[in-house]
Amino acid sequence: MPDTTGANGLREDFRVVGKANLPGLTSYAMATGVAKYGTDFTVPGMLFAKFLRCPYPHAKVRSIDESEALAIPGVLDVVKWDDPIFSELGANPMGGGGGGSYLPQEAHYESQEAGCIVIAESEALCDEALKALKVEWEVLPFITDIFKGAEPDHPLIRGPELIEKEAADYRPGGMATAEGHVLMTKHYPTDPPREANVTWNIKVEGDLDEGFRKADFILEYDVNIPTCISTIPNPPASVAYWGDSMYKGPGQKIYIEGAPHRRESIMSMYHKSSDEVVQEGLFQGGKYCDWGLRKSQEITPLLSKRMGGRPVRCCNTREETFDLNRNERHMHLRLGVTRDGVITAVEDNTLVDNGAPGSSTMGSVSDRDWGGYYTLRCKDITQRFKVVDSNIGFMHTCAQFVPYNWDSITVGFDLIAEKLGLDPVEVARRNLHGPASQDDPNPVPSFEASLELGKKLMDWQWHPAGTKRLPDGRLHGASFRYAICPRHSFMDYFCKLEYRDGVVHFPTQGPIAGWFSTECFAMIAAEELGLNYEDICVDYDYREKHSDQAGGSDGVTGHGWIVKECANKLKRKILESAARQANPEPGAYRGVFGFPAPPSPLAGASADELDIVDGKVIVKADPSRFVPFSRATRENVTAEFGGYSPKSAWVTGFGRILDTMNTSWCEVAVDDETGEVDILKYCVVPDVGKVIRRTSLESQIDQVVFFSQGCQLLQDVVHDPETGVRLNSNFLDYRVPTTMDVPEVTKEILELRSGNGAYGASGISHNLANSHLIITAIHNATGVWVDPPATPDRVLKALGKCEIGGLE
Amino acid sequence: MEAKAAGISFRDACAQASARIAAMPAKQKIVTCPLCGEQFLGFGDLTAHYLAEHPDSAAPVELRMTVNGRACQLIIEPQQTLKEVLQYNLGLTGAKQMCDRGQCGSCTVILDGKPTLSCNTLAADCDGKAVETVEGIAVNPKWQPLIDAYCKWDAMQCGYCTPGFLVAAKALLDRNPTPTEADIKEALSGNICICGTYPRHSQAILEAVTYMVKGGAENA
Amino acid sequence: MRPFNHLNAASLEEASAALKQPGSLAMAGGGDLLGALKDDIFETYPKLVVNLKTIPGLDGVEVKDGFLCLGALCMLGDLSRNETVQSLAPAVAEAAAKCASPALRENTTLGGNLCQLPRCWYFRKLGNHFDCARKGGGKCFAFNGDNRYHSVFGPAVFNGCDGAKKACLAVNQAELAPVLLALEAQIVTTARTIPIGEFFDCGVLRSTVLEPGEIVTEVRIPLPEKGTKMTYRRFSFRKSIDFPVVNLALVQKPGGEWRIALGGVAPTPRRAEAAETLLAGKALTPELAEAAGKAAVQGAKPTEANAYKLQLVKTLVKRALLSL
Repeated sequence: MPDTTGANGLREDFRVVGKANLPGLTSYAMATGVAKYGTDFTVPGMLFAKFLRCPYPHAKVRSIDESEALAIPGVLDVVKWDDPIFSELGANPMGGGGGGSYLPQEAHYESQEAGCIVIAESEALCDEALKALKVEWEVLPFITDIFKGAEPDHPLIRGPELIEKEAADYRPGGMATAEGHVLMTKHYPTDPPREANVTWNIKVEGDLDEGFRKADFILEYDVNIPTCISTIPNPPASVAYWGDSMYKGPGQKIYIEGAPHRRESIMSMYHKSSDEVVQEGLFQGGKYCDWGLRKSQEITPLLSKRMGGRPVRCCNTREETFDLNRNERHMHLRLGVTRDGVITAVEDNTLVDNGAPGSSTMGSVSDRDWGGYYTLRCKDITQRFKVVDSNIGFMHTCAQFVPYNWDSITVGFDLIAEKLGLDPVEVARRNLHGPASQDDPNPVPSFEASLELGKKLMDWQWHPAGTKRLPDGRLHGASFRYAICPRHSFMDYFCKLEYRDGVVHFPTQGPIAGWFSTECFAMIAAEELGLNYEDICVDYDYREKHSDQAGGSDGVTGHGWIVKECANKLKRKILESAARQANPEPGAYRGVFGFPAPPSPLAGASADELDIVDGKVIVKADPSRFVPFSRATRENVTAEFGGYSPKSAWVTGFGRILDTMNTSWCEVAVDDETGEVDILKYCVVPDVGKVIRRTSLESQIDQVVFFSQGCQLLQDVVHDPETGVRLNSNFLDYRVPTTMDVPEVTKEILELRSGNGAYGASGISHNLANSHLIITAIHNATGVWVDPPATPDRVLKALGKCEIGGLE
Repeated sequence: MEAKAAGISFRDACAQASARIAAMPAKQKIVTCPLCGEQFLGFGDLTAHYLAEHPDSAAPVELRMTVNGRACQLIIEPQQTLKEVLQYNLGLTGAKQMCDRGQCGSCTVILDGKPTLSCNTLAADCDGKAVETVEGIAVNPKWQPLIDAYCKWDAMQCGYCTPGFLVAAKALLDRNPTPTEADIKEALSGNICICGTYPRHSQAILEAVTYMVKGGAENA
Repeated sequence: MRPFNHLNAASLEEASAALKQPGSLAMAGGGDLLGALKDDIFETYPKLVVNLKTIPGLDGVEVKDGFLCLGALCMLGDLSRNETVQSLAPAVAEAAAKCASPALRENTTLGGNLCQLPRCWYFRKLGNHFDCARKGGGKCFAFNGDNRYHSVFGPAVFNGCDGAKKACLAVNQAELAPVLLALEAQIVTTARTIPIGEFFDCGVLRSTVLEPGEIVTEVRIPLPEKGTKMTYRRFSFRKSIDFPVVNLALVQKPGGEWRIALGGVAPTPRRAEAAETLLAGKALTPELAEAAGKAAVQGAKPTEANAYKLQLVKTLVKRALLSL
């Protein structure tokens, strides 16, 4: 299904697109430290603000005595939850805000902002003031262990008001697709009623009983996925002050840095029009698929106003930045399987964390429509989500790890392989449906190509679990998984290109978020306009409509399709303008001060007869007749294009059609005397459809692999079992991999050109993310399952090497 | 605008780094009391003011440092970290705050020739010392090949941890101008990046080394 | 970080005098203390932080009177590269080279590494959240809590400020402690010389026997006899920026005598005496190495969550022996 719907989708001659090693537009600014992020902004005379944070998983501020804090020299104000100033705030369209409830009295997770904000002359004095507050906390029942939380007699952790609000929320919520499909729906009216802290989300397709009847045996297993942290590198921060508006008068304009591309949220919260909010900073930092503003990023204008217009800075600490990237999930699977290894029924009973109130449903229930199940021929599928309210943490739309339930399939294939003595690759082959639909019996070309290359790279020789030792004595294991490279198109996109004074401008508000999408777009525009990458002048301006929030490298491709169409529209308009100017009306004056201009080399040609090639506007029939592109026309030409790229996965359904796919392969060595897992080989063969910008594409693959590896081998969120308090919200005890920990990732990138982005490009990053590829390889090595993170202690325990008794 | 002015070229980013270094106050002429905002003409007057007005508060101290080759005389609060002084007193934001506990390397600077985590160093401990930040490295033409290689190889994605890596890389090359890939991995192992750029740093540094040490023969 | 006063001490006398005042704390590299202050983990916040790094003459390495003398202000990075250390006590250089992360090693002092406070996550929790025994509170939260990194040899027991018996499960994870213990080093302070085996103590808010105002000035290692073999091993979950969950040093003297010291497993660094006895005078075989590993964990009282450390000790001891 190549990109036949757009202009030049089948292009074969690429001059710019696909190139490696073109420096990013802001790379020098980033490398030399001149790029400024929210944490970096300072304004002379600024004050500092800090929120009181809840030190318990669930507690309510009963009272605050701030008198001692206010007596400290340099501490200026303590703003409490019931201060009337909060009622001035409008709602934030991304969620939150809105009137008197902005700063809650009750916190639903540890380190949530609650009770008050202190304002002082320095950060140190804020700390001093917070310490001097006399806060009376009412510690409330909490859930940090969702198994306990799911028990019917567990005390309720949410009041009736909150429960009612959520129950009423049968929402058309989150993102809607072009065709009106609704994603991220939390509950359906058909779901069973709430029981204590548990809600249900059930999806039944086909006939499960019928599916099991077709099976020769039933495979039952668990897939446990722990929570992980959204390790945003830059703690959310902002600084804001009020300035004069030329139109509205003194002190009416907000200057705020640190909430890049969230100007609309600020406008809405402060009831300001677009010309009254100035936000020049561009650099968002690594907030991958984390779209939530933190209170530290949106409250500073309010505090500045309270302090008479003095600038105020507010910055989270690392501990306060430990938001969830993924909700904890425990899947219990029952698969009906034939003796040929074909799955006939899927029953997925999942216990999943609902997070704190208002948390995103991504990665908890909303991925029920996105899973690997739909890549199977089997159509008898029941998914039952038992969703447990908790105080574990908050998730801001983050979903670097969706879709989750892919790896229930990865593990399932491994178990079927084990039982039948078949290579899991063969099991996958027997279960995967064809390209067009779940009924299509044909092989998927992208999958077959990826398999073939992957097997070669790995020198793939599968063996049953626990049967191979390496010469150095360690156990050897291997694993394989597949996924789709999804046809992403998160929302409707927009692009504007301007030909101005001979130069093509691409105005964008940014943000610079780490996936080099602006660079990809500039390359696509250059390709279509017959120019070089450097010829596209990217104008960063916060007032522009175009934004890079494309959805990682996945969304870049769908967004890129829009840019491609826009560039072709601009090209057409430039050629029309050039033809118009080369062919003046008979008798019209054309010249300077009475001296007639020589006829244009393009004279006589219509727009259809012109083309742009290598920086020149040429007559197609006679390329010796040309004008330089910079003098194509004296007019300014603007083209805009917006909308959706064709047939995204949101429309076709995840996995229901199969075009661009990927395989990942892993080989580990497990030291069964120390529990250490060493990744010997990690290969990825994605069919990305078409490479746009090779260097960053490769980096995105590394990122997603390192992320997945960190979560499978190192990263572990630990709560004290008695108090529910988190014990490791820092970068020492919560271990993100270092340069010494990550494997070398072998990548062979396929380009079968069948995605829905520009030139048939497709997404990449999300679906290489996995929770169980390495875990499956460890199983293949040892014969036991170790739940992630497979830290040495857990591996040793699973191997039965942690005996407690018998030590004289 | 910051990024627009920084643009694509090395010269623009360097010019900004250079401007930031030039804008550092060599000596604070007017001293503002950090507690009450009253202004004084010198450190002595401020100290007297503290004794009289804020006897229970920790008094500011004087600090003399050389930062990127320029002598600076500052009045700071004793609990301020070197990172905070670079940002708040000197306007240098190349050292980034990620973990604020010495666990990530984003705030790395070079202190008297050694890589140092500026979030984990009291500024008051640095009296008489020489500090080099990423801005100082950026304006030194010697290191242009390193920065060029970083940009060519996308040794960054979101860019937040990048200056810390670059400073650690420079500190490595000061000590060992021809490192192996293993040396590089080891030298950068205190720097956390969540964007997956680790292999890019080795690639960029090895290429810069080829250029800097071997005259760029293989690079041409 | 909340405000405090600061003193760049010019001499040991000045530092000692300042540190005798209540509410003052000594700081060398600061890697340990600054984090503790930022997390505000102490019952009482210091009024004064005394910087010891400005005291001259404490960062030397020299051989003197049969000792290898290492100044307390030697940075671990310098120690790891020091040729004298590398040749006379290679395991010390090895341990110094593996501590923390590259930049931290350049700014972590030998004295600071030995005097650091425990890493226990209850003790370290932000805002002095757990009023634990180590801080004078009633109980050690690790007993019923998550103790995967805690002691496998039982708690430290001491008399609290209130006179009641207290127990604390935190371990000593100092990178250099086991190797210095195995080499029978002495800790020289402004007041006395302390055999390293007696240096570590778990009194309230202290990880050493240092009295207020007492400062470590030097670590003396008796020069190993010619033919002495030694090695250092550490095991951490992450390959950099991590404390060892278990670390150990082995020293084999030419006469067949052994010194084996373990870190990360008990409230203080611990000699594995049963293993030393077992090995004494015998020729090493794989079977003996295995038996020595088992002997090294004799008497352990692990919990379900930390029994893995015993397996690690057994393996590391065995492998270290066989590598010598």
